[in-house]
Amino acid sequence: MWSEGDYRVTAASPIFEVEDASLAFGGNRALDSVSFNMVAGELLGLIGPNGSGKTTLLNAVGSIYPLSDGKISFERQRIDSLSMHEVTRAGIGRMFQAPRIFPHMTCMENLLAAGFAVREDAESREDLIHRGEELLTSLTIDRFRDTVAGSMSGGQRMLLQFARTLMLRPRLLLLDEPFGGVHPKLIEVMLERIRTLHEDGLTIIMVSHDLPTIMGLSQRIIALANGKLIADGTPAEVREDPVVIDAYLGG
Amino acid sequence: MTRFEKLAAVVALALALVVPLIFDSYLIRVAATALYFVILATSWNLLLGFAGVLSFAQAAFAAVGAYTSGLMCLHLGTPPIVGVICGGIVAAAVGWVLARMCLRLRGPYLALMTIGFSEILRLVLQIEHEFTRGSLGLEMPYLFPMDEPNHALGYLVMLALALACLVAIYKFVNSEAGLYLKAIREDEDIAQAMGIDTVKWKINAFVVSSLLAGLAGGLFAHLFVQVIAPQMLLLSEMALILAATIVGGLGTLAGPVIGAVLLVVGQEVLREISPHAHLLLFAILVIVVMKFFRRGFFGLLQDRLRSRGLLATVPPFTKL
Ligand SMILES: Nc1ncnc2c1ncn2[C@@H]1O[C@H](COP(=O)(O)OP(=O)(O)OP(=O)(O)O)[C@@H](O)[C@H]1O
Ligand SMILES: [Mg+2]
Repeated sequence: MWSEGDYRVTAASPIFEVEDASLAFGGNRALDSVSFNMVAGELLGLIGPNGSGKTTLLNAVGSIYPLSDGKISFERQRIDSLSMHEVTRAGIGRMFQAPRIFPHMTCMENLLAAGFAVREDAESREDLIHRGEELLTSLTIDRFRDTVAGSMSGGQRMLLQFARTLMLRPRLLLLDEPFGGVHPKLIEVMLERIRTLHEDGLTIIMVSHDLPTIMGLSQRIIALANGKLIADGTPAEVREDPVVIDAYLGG
Repeated sequence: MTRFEKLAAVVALALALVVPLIFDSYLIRVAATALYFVILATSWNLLLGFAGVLSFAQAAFAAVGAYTSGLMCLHLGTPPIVGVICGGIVAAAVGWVLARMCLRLRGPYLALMTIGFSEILRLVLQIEHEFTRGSLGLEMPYLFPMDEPNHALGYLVMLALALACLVAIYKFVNSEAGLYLKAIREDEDIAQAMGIDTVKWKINAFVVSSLLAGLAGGLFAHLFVQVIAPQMLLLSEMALILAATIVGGLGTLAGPVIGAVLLVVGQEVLREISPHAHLLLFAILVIVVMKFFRRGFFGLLQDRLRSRGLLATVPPFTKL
């Protein structure tokens, strides 16, 4: 699909574009005309009070709910009419706020299911297993390799979910409260991994209520309130923005 | 597979091979019936046990296979063996169409659609009696050009199909397809969010399952039934498949085999008490299993054997 932007390919041209995205649940406008762009390699923090629409925005990107209005494009391709698995195969990996792992499958099976589903032909079963083992080791859950995931604790499930998302080799990573229930020490491990991914040029959107952490990590923050985009700027700008302060205190 | 698993498979196979040597013709027929239900339960287990898809049409697909073959013999004069193969193909094709129509639905809607399909097919077979011979029954010529049916030979043919079916399902569930099906069973939304084309894989499982049921239906009818009637599609037939799988152990390879053998033998024993006593037994068994040990008899056994290191603890596909 052609848009004006296709003629102006520069280093800073956006790889991810959300244009006037709206989504209503019945009469409740959970997303109200949200627009923003991201350039490749950006780490964007997404904040907002409870119920402001952060998860809904990620759900819209992942085609879990169809937009009622607006457009979403990734790498110059419209993705808002794709189905869920097509969005994932287009290069968008999603981590969920509540860790929904496959409980009766082992950790390795959890990872391989994702790895196989999006694999490129060159990658063999052995390659995928090696990559899975590396991820488990780096996230300190390698001892659960052959344990059924349902027997892990909430925090460990979060780590497994993180590993499973990375198995997708996403080019855009969506993280919804990735540290919920995770031990502070392990949060450090995850943060380290996120920093490395960012340094390697991965484009990331991260939702978190942990404002100090997210403000320290990202160069740019956007804030939602009642489904509307109320701020978009550097952490310092957003922190000082009276509209944001108002939304948090009022909410 | 562990050494114990290999040994158990060899012993089971040896026992199965001894059956035609030591049993009389009546008991061989009972054993062949058990094999028939082993195939139906194993292929149905691929749907509910692995993919989490509840279908009530497994007996119907066996009937599609049997009727396709019987009708081809009657109207076209095809040899039964060709009819059996066509029956499998037609069952797979019908399975594909039904799956395309209803696998986008989930949960109870899908189950209701398969009941509807099964009942409609039964009524059509009954009403179109000029073509299907309805309740009078459709004659199924013996599979081989012989004057007298040979039950021992028929049993061995069923055994071969049952083995082929078990090997095929083992390969299928221990491949990437197995991972996808299990992921779909566990959490269909997340499976899709992980890049799995869930509808496509559910359709694939449905087609494989229908193909096996269709082949079994045709083969068993030509070998042991002689005359088939639309009663083949009654829900009580489906009840045996369902009970065997659940009582044996959903989502395991050995479960449906154990369950089918157990229930077919139970059915024979109870037949002397009352012709419908077995249905009562199945109902009670299913309720007891669902209430107290959801993973079935093999599930119970599995834990014991696993804790002694006799069963594989790591899924073979994830081992290097
Ligand atoms: N599946 C759904 N059906 C109906 N309404 C929904 C659904 N999902 C979200 N909503 C509504 O949409 C609004 C935004 O919810 P959302 O989950 O996106 O908030 P959030 O910003 O992620 O909040 P939190 O910080 O608590 O995770 C809420 O009013 C919520 O009630
Ligand atoms: Mg949320």
